[in-house]
Amino acid sequence: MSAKQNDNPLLPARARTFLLAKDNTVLSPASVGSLDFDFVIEQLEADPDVEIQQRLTPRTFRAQVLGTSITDKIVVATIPEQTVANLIRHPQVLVEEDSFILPQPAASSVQEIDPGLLSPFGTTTTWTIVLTGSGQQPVAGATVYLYGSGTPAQGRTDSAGSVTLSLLNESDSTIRAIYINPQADYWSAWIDRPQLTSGATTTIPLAPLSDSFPGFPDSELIGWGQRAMRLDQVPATFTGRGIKVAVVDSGAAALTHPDLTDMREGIDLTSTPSNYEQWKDDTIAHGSHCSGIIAGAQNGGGVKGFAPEAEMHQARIFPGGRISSLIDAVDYCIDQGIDVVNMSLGTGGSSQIMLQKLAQAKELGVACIVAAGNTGGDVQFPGTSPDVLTVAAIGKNDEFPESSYHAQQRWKNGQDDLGFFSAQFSCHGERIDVCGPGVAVVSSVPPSGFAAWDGTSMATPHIAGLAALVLGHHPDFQSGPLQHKGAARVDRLFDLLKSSSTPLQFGDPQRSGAGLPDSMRALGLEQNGQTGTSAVSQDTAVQTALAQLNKELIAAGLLAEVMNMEPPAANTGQTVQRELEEVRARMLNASLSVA
Amino acid sequence: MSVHVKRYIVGGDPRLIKPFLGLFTADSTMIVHSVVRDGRGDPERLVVSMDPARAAAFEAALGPAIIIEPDELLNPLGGT
Repeated sequence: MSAKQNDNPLLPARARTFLLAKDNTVLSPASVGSLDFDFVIEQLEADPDVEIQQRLTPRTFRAQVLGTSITDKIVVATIPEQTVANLIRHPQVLVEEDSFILPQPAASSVQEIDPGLLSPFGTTTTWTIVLTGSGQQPVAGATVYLYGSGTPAQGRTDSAGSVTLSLLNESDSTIRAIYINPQADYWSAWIDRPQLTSGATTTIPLAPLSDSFPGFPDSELIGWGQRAMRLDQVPATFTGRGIKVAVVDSGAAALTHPDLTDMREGIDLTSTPSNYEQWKDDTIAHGSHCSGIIAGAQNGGGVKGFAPEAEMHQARIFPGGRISSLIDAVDYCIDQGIDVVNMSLGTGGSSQIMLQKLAQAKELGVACIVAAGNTGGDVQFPGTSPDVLTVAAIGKNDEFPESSYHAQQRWKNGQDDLGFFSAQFSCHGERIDVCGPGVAVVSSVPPSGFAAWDGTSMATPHIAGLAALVLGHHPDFQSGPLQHKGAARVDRLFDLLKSSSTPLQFGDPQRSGAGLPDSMRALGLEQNGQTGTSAVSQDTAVQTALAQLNKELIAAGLLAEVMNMEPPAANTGQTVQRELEEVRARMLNASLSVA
Repeated sequence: MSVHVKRYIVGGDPRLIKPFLGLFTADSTMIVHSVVRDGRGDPERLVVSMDPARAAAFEAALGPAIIIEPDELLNPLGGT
């Protein structure tokens, strides 16, 4: 077997079977001459990794004599993929996978189905799969999908980590893949052509997240997406304090998850009448995952969010969310004076009423940040609204095991030199404003675990979290007209996020918009790739730091002593820098911490 | 034979919607799921289940002053 076939550490893949023939329709170059196909077969027979299974020749003399096409000699063989790749390069050799042929399914139109056709025919085959994790412990509650030629079978592992799945008219050799989706704490798995034996039990070991992140979750993880956006370079004192962020989703496990216990506000819009308690019951985990990315607590463990200490509000509309519930949720956000709204949701439909509501929200200073959609096609609604910031999803190589399902999410047509790739599922088009990390994103799930998920849903809270941080710390929003809510404030926020972005070259600008927002530039700590070398960038960085110090001093009750700390407009960066140093010295004298 | 109903959002000027709320409520083939009222207590947004043919007829008669549009399901956009 080739290395490629052996590289899945979870379960080896079956070898693939191919049909080989000489292509008589291709004229051989004069310098090469006609291919001696028998010689090719001899070479394959001598290869210990190749198994010739069958030779097909025409059964009648007429076919042999008249046959001018490729069908005069066909070989069926199991061949390593590297050898197949070499054979394909030869212009006179035809290579095709020997696909399985199944009975035609009944017609899809309900009206045309003869009830007699609905009776199952053929045989049912069953496979039992056991999932094991750390220390050979069974992994319960994982969803396992078994792909044959048609609709996959799916089931959930029991307390022994076991699930038995059945498929009609399939066999060991027709199983195309297994997809394993654990609830929490393990990487997903995708195995092409798994070596399964019907009637027997196959044990598959899952890789714990902690294998990739030593010490996790007892020690704090800054996710790959947060590092790619340089959140790890932002001073730890930059938090979301004072900024209101709403997540319109499925609620959050605020009662049970250590990263979400600071979340105290919310509304449940799934029940009639709405109530202010049930948002803490996140039955589908989606809202908890998004909320952790935005504001996961900075508590030494778990996953640190972008804007811990932000005032988080949950507007629970899932399960069962509709456009009307989203309108209700935006009304809640307006009433509560929310600064940033995360909408990791979408629909193929549209709504004029919703568009008007989003325009109203922007006029009132509510910045709505929306996922582009996961259909791989055009941007979904409400990401199509001109009044929101729309986010596509990207991934990054080497941030997940190749045996995980995340490896299936690479868009095949392009990735950049740094290993970033567009997610194949991500919607795209002119309405994409920016992109965010949306493949193999680790965040919180109920009751108290962590899971690595994919989706534009995961990309969006990266941007919403950074937006909260920018509103809380960028000098533009600390004084002057933009500290007051309104459309100009939202426009400036969106402009800062877009202009801070690092463009990504995927060969299609509509897949990533302006690119991946950069925390340091968006916060004014660094400008357009210049690390504080110009007077302008020094001024901005120093003003940002002063604004941060100002907040700390207010919190410490020392504001009156340093009311003159704001630099006059004519100050140079050096003058401001000196003032900053004086303030730092005064804070140190007062035994206050200085970042 | 039962009529297949769908959910719709009805929105517009509350003064225009107000008379229709009574009409919708009295109609046994329609279900009014929710009413959002403005500061004066007039209805500015309704969620109503009705026969698509009736929705189309209302839309043709009342639009564009009153918008009647399907209340589509939304999907969360993440997972594994």
